[in-house]
Amino acid sequence: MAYTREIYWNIGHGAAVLVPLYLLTFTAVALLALGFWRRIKVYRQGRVLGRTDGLADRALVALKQVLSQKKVLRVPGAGTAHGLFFWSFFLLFAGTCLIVVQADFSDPLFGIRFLKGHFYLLFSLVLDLAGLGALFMLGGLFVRRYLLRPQGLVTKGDHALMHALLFTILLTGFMIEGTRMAATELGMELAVWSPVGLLVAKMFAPFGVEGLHNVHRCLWWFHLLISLGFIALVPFTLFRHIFTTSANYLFADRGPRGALVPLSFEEGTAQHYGASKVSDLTWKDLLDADACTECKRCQDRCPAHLTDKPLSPMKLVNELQEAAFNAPAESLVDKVGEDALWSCTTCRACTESCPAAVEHLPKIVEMRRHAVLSESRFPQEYKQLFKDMETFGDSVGKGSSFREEWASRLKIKRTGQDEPVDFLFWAGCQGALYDERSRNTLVATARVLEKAGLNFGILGREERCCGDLARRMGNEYLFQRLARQNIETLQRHGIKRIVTNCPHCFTALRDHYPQFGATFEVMHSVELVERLIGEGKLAVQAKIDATFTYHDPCYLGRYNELYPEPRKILDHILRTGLKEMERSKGNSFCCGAGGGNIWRGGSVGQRIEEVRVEEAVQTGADGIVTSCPFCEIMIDSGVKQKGMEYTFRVADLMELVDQAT
Amino acid sequence: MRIIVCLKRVGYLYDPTAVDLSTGDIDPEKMAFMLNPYDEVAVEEAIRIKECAGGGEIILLSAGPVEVEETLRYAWAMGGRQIDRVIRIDDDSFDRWKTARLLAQTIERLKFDLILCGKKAIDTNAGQVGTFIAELLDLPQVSGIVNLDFPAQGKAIAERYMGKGDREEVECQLPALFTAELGLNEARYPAVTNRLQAEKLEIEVLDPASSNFLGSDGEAASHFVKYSPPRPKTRKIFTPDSNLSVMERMSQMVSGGAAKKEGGTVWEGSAEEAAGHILHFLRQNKILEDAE
Repeated sequence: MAYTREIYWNIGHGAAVLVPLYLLTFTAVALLALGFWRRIKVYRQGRVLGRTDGLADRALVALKQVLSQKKVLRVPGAGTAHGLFFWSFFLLFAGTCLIVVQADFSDPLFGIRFLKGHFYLLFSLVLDLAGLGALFMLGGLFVRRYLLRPQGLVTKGDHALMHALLFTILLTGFMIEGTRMAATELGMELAVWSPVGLLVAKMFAPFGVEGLHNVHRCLWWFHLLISLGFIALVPFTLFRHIFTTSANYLFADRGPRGALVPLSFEEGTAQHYGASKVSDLTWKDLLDADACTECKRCQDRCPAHLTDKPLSPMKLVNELQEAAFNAPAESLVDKVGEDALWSCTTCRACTESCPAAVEHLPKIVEMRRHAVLSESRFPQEYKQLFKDMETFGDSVGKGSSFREEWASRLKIKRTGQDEPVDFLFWAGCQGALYDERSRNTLVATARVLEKAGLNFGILGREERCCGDLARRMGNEYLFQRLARQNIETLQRHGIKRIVTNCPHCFTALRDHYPQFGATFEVMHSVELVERLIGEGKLAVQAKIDATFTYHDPCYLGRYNELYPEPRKILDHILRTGLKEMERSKGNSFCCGAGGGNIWRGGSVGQRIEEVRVEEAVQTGADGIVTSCPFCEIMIDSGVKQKGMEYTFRVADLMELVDQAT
Repeated sequence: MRIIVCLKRVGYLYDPTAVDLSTGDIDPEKMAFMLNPYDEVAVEEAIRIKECAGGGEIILLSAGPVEVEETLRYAWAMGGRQIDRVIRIDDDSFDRWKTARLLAQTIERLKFDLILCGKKAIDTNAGQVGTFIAELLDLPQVSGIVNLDFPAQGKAIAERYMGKGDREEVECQLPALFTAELGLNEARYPAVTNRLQAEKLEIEVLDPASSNFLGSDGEAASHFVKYSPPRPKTRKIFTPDSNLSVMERMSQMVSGGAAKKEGGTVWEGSAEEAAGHILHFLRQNKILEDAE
C-alpha cells in the first residue's frame, strides 16, 4: 500500500473546519504579536543603541547558536535535557508546518503531495521519536525543578503552567495519533514506523469504531485549542524566551568583550551620567532583562555570590526587568542595592555562562557611573583612590618617581632619552609601585625580553595609570583624563607597539583607548613570549621540576580568550605537566581583585582569594602560576592567610620563564 | 551666615619626582598639586553649615598664581551651586605674612560671620596664615577644631583634641576664625557634573598692585631658598647595661652596641641544658633562693 495518511482524516477539510481553524490561528498569532508589541514598547523606553549592523551575518550567527544550543549544552544534566527537548519540539513544530503546507497549500492548489513514500516513513519515525524525546526530557526537567529542587532555582506559577501545557500538548498529540492508527493502521507495515503511536493505538484498540472516531475528533480540537493557547500565551509567560533569547543572540555585542560605551563630557551640560533609572539603560539592556530565563547559571558562577556577598547577577537583571515593566521611575541604584552593585568584580563569568546571551556588565557599570559621577555615592575607601589617581596618576598615591624604581638596577632604555625602540614595555602601576613581588615580576619579564633580543624600552615616570580600574568602577571622567594623558604621551614618543604584563592595562590599551584615537598594536606578554619561544628566540635551558596549576586571569581569559598561550608556554618550561583546576579557562574563578574590590578589604562572607587558593591546593600541585599582577597579589595574600607561603609556591608565568630560559 | 573659606594649592613634596636632590630645586612641571587636605575639610565644613542652616553664603578665597584656579574649581565643585563667590588674589610669593595680609585685607572688605581655614598646609607645615589673619582682623580664633556648633545667634562652640581621647570645648563670639583639623568631617568627592560646570566657572581675580592693597610694607618677609629631602634615619643611641664595666660600656657606645660583652657567657646546647645553666647561674648569684 502507499505509505501515507489522509491529513484531516475524521476531521474534514471543508469550510466548516478550515474557517474556525484559521480564525483561531489568526487570533492566537494576533495575541502573540500584541503581547510582544507591548513588551517591545517597554524596551523602547531605553536609549538608542546601534546593534543592527551586518544584520544578515548576525542572523546567521544567531540561527546557528540557537539551533545548535551550544551555550545551553555547556552544562550537562539540565543543559542536555533542554537541548534534546528543544530539538524534539523544533522537529514536531517543523513537522506540523509541513503538514500545513501540504494540506492547505500544495495539495489543494497544485495537487502536490510529499508526505508519502519513504519520506513519509522517515517523517513518521522522526516525529514519533521526537515526541517521545520531548516527553522524557520534559519529565526530566520537571523532576529537577519540583523534586530535586536545586538550590537557588526560583519556581513560580508560570512554570507549573508551562509544564502542564507542554505535557498536555505532547500527550494529546500521541493520543490523537493512537486513536487514528487504531482506526486505520493496525496490522499494517506502516504502523511500525510510528512506534509510540502504535503503542497508544493498542491501548485504544478496545474502543469501538465509533468510539475511536469521537475520541479522536474531540482530542483533535482540544489539541488545536491548547496548542493555539500555547502560541497566544508565549509573550505572557516565560515561553517568551523562545523569541526574546533568540532576539538577544541576534542583537548581541560584536565588539571586544566587555567593551563599554564612552561618555561624552564635551558640552558638560548633561544633568546626570550613567543609569539613574530605566530610561537611561539602552533598549538592549531592557531586552536582556526580559530574555533572562532565570536559569541561575550566572549566579552559580559569580564569585561574589558564591562567597556570600549580596550580589546575584540573575537577581540584578530580574530587578531591572521589574523596574522596566512596573516602576520605571524608580532609582536603579536603590533598587539593586549599593552593596550588591559594588560587590561585582567585573569578572564576566555571568555573561560567559549565560545561555540567553544576557550582557550583565554594561548595566552594572552604567549604574556605577551614575552613582559615582552624578551622586558621588560609593564606598568610602574609593574616595582616596580616586583622588590619588587624579593627583598622582597612580592608584596608590606614591608619585611618578617610584615608577622607575623596579628598573633602577637594570639597563633598560627610556623613551625620549635613548634611541627609538621597537616595543614599549608598559609596566603598569600595580607592578611598578606595590609589592616587591610584583616588581620582581617586572624584572623577570624585562630579563626575558632581553634574552629574546628585543629592542624595548619603558616610559618610566611619564606613565600614568591606564585607568581601567576607574572605568570599571564607573568613574568615566577620571578614566578619560588618564586615557587622554597616556595617549598623548605615547603618541608624542611615536610608540607603535606595546607589550604589557597586566591584563587590565592590556584590555584598556587595546580595547578602550582606540575609542579616544589610539592606534597602537598591543600584546600581552604571554602572547609575545609564546611567539618568541615558537620562533626559537627564547631557548629553554632548564625545565622546571615542580608541578603547577594555572589560574586564568579574568581579563586575560574571559575578556580576551588567551587560554592556549600560557599553557603552551608552560608546556615548554615545565618538566611535568600542568594540573588544571576544575574551574579553569572560560570557567575560571575570579581572584576577587577586580571592579575596585582589591581596595575594599570586604568583610562580608568568605574571601574570594582564599576560596581560589583552596581550589588550587586541592589539585595536588606544588604551586600556582598566573599572568596578572592583581591575581598574583590576591593569591599570594590568600596563601599567606592559610599559612602556606612556604609550602605552596605562587609565581607569575614570566618568573618561571625567566627561571627556565 | 556668610562664611569665608581660605584655601591653598599645595605641591606634594613627599614625592621626590619634582625635586632635584643635588640642588634642591623644585620643578613645578613634575610636581603633583592638590587642594590642601586641611583646607578641603574647611570647605566641606562650610558646605555642611550652609546645608544645615538651609541658607547662607560661601566665599572661597585663595592667593596665588593662575594655576591656583584649578584648585579653586575643584573646591567649588565640592559645593557646586552652593558656593556663591570664588576669588583669587593674584600673587606669586611664597611668604606667609604677605599672604596673610592679602587675605586679611580682602576679607575685611567683605562682611563676614565666619572664617574657616585649614590648620596647616602639607607642604610647609607651618600653620601660621590662619592665625595671622585672625590677629590682623582682631578676631577670636580657635585652631585645630574637630567640631563646630552654633548654639545661638552670634555664638559658636568648637571642640579641639587634647590628646588621649579628651576634647576641649571653646566658646566664642562671632565673627571668628577657626582652623580645621582633619577629624572635623569627611570631605565629599565632587560630583563630576559639578566638575564639568566648574570648568566654565567665572573666578574673580584681584590684583594687589592696584591701590588699597598692602601699602609700603607689602614686601615679602621671607622667600623660598631650597628644599632638602629628609636626612637619613638617625641610628638609635645604644644604652649600655649599667652592670657592665666602664670599659665595656664605652666600647659598646662607640660601636653602637656591636661589641661583644666580655662579662657574658654563651652556652650552646639543647633547651634543657640551657635551662640548667640558667638555673645554676641564678642560684649562684643569689637571684633565686636555693630550693633545698
